Amino acid sequence: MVLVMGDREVLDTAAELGLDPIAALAAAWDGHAILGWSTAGQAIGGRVHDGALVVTVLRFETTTVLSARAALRTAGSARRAGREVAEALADPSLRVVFLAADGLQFNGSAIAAGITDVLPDVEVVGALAGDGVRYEQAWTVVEGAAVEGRLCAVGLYGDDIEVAHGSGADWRPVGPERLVTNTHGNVIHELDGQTATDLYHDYLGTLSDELLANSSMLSMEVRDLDGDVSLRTPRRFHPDGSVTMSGDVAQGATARLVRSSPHELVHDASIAAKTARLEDAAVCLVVSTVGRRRVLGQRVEDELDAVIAALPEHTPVVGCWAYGAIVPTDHGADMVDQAICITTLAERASTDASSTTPPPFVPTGTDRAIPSETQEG
Amino acid sequence: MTSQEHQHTDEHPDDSPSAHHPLLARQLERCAIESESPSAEQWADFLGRVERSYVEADRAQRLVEQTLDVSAREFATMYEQLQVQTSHVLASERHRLQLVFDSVTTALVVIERSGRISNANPEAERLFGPAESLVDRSLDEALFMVGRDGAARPMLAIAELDDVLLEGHWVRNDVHLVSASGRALIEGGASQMTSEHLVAADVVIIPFNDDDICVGGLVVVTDNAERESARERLAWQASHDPLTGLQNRAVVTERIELALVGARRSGAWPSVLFLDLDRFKHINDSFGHGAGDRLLTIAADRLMKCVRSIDTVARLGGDEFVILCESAGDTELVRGIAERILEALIEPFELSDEETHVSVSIGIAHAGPQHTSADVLLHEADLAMYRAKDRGRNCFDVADEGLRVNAAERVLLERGLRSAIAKRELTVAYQPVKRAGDDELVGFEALARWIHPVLGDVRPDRFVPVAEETGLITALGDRMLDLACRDVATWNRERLTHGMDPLVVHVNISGRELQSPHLLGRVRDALRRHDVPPHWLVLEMTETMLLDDPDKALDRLRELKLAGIRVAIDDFGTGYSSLAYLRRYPVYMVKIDREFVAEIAASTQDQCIVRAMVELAKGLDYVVLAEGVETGAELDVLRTLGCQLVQGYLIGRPMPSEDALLLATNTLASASATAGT
Repeated sequence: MVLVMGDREVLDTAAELGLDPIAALAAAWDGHAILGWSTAGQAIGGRVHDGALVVTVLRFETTTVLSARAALRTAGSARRAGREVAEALADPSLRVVFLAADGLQFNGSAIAAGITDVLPDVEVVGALAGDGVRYEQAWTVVEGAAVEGRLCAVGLYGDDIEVAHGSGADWRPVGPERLVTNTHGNVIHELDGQTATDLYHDYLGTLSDELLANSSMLSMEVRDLDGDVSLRTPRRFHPDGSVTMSGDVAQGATARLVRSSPHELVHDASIAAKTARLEDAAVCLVVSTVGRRRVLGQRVEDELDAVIAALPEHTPVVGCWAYGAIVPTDHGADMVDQAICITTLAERASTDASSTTPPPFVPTGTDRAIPSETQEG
Repeated sequence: MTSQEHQHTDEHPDDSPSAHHPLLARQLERCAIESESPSAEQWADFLGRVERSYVEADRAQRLVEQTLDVSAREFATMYEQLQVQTSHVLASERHRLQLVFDSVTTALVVIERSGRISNANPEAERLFGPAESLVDRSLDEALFMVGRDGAARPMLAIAELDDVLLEGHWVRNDVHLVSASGRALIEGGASQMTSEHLVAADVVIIPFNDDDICVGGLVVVTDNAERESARERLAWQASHDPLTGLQNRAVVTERIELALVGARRSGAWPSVLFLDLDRFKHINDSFGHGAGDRLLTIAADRLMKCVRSIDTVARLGGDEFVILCESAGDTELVRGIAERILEALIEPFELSDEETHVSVSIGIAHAGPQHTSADVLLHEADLAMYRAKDRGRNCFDVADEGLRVNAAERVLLERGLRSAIAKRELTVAYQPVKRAGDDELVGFEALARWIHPVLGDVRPDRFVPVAEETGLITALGDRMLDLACRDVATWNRERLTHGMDPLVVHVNISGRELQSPHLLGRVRDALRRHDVPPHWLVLEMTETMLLDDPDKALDRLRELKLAGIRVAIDDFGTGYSSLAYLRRYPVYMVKIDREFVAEIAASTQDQCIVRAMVELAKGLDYVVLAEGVETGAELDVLRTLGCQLVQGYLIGRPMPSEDALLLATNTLASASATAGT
């Protein structure tokens, strides 16, 4: 199984040079499951690699790997796409599903709901593909090409897979609680009779010059009618004042702006990593979000350092900053935003404990497969 | 800045990389700057990173400042809105409470903990005088309680107020309160003191607590005047007739009982007068019930003037009054009262601009040791009153042994009648009815006949009222209908086979029967039983019976007419028939009463009356029958006047049914004989 995380501009620049790294990768790993998505930055270990593709190859001894995909255009809705993919992967031996979806076109909450409809008891982790702070195009890898508007998934089957997961988001309220007076799915039209765009303009002041990028530092904590709380971040501001958010916001819910500081975000990361701690893990996948990166700025690697410090020594860590993550919860899969989501994975072959075969995980840094930092624009 | 950052910046200001701010250290590391002289490229990269850090730090600070400003502003606006809203809600709440405070019919006085009155509602002002006499005064200088000794003391001493407020509830029921000015009147000799100054009330003091700290109290004064007057009103209603203001039946009965008990000891026996206005129903019918009520009121006033102050005058209901003369001693005194009443009531009554007259029939019963209860005495007086009515009204009669015997006879009659009906001892007699013109027999009137083993031949006018009162009338009526139908069937079977006209049989119907919805069914049953066509039967009923309930009577008459049964009005001319009523009734025949016939030969006046009656009846298309024809002269006059049918001793006396059959067949025989010749 191959994981590919990269900036959109890397592929653009490669294309200008007549290169197609994704196709090359697919050719090199023909016959293997490839899961890839665009990001707002990626990391290997404690180091950020912007303007790069980061490739991770996972080899399993006993675990079966299958992939599936769905297009939003043909599925008709994000929920149906989630259901299609889940149905394609469904099997009693299915243990873990890794997901990647176009985070600009898909409503993450709906994908999670669709998956849960079919696979309520399977661990699902995933990333919503992003586009830096541009919010224009997000891709996932489909048959050797980077394509928009797709939901891709890889399923891991068998009893030897072990997964641990942790996520955290510590944001503090700003201003009063507001009633969501007009909303549809993940689009908020009005809060307390004010358009969502006006609200962000007010609160960002002069920072409104980069409205979308800076709004990621000012998320919304939404409390639905059942009292469940989730964080949502703007994905698109529309001319009529409405705002598409990273996930659903129920009519009649209350919403409150929240912000955070580097210190608090680092603290989150540490706590989440402790929950996801797994001895002898083959890999640790970190999915953070673009909003956190905006807050952390130059200190973005502090978040990774905190994760590494909390995990057992020598745990290989790869990560990205995405437009949200899909995480397993007590009631199926769910979309979270502005959280750091940490998943550790191990394969424990029950038959042969003294095997001399190398560890199944081969992190690709500078020595192997696809060049990582060599394709700078 | 975090504390960690402080540590790094404050300590080690030397060049060691570990002493740098972690971010700076990372930046140096990322640019791979380790030597003293980095390359130009490294330098530019490093500066770029540092530059971005500053920009980011500025951005973070601006975000914090901006969000703080905006949220502070928002919270301030919300706070103002909340204040406005709260004050609005409070004002509206206060307004509502003020309305309640002002409009409750309980007097409310608000006191502070010191006892100073801070507010009083309009009801408190109504009871205790204007607000100035209450507000800002101390409670002990404003409200006083009048004790049994007549002295006014402060309702509550200020020294006790604290305890009262802390304990919670202070209640005084049925006390008399006065204001300061009221107390001044008491102390000034109270000559001008009126009940208006004195407030009969229940008082409660309720403490006001603010966060468990007593800040004052509410004095609640409930005026009992309403309650007391309601109590008096109820008591009055229980003992008085609301129309006339006289005592009612309950009171007079109780007083008679007491007087009887007292007389047993003292020997001074009371007397009871039972009064019934004559023709009162006529007043109600002619002038309306309002006028009737007015007349009763005037009559009550007049009665009060005719009695002594110790006597009790009561109205039993309708036009019946009872007067109790206690310790009357001699009967002359009671007769005197009765005579005064007759005189007083004979005076005309002014009713709605018209004068009218009534009279009264009075029954007097003098109590004696034999009277064990008020009911017995009242019953005797009642019987005496009826005898007075029988004697021609507008007089009084005194209950005596004879009356008591009559009462006993009545009991005997009732008992006997019951068994007579059961044993079918009642028989029928038939009095012939003939055509005035040719003396031709046209029918018989069936008369009930009862031979009592002790009393002998009992006339219907004695036992029919008893039958009506006891409900035996239906059984009696059924028996008469059955016999009459049986006989008319027998007569006419014979007559018809010989080509003669059938006879009709007249049967009397009582008022009770007329009111019963089962009348038609019963008549039809009798007809069917003997296979008698309805036109062989004539039902006789009196005018007064029709007038008792004219609408119901009309319904019955219509039913009978539809069934083909004919109706005759008996005793025509003696009632108060209104032409309007008479015209509406589907009546077949009228029977002119014997009292008009008796003098017809001698009195031209009576002739005129009968002539008018005959004309009237013919105008209305009624058949006219004259009753009580006893002489040939009377018969001649009646023929001249155009009366069609006649009945009376001259025409034929009542006869047993066997004789009636003979008469019917004799006529037949003679008719056959005539036909045969």
